[in-house]
Amino acid sequence: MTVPPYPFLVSENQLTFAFESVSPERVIIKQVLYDQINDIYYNLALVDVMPDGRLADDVVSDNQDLPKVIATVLQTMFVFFDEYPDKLIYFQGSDAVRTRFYRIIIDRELNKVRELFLIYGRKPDNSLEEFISNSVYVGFVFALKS
Amino acid sequence: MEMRTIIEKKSTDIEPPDLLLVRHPTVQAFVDKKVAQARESLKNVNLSFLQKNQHPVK
Repeated sequence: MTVPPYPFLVSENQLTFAFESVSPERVIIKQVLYDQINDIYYNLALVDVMPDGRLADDVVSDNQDLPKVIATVLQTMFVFFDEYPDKLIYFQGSDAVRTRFYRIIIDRELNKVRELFLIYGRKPDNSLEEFISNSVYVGFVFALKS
Repeated sequence: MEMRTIIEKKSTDIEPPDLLLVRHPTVQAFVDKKVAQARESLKNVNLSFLQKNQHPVK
């Protein structure tokens, strides 16, 4: 069953997105942020923010809604690519554990995601390859499938 | 690209926050750090693979 995304807001330049992650226990405000790295790449960051907009310090919020959050981030990618179709989205974890976590998520969602995007893994030797399950990567690149 | 319609205000019981498209300085500082890390990481990445594999990098 496909998990529906959360509704979200998007800025005019289609680089900043906001939505609420909702569980019976709490509501967490999240932003999905795209920032230009260079002529080709945009960095993707997902952050939790306080009601006043400040960055929330607790890095792992775990609101028991990860599939829904991922579905929402994927939707923001569509909106991003609508405005920037020739660019690439890049993200990496803040450490090896986090990067491995991202790899597992991509792995799990791979069939669905591959229908929509070209996915590449950046290997420790700095080369790129098409994403392969269970491979070791230090970063990930998403491109719009034409 | 039919999925894109989801961004238009969808009537659900959950309303997204409306003030948060402005980036707080603490958020921007965090992101700036991430971008700097990413820029450093990507400095030596060979793009020929992407060019060979369908994506027209511009």
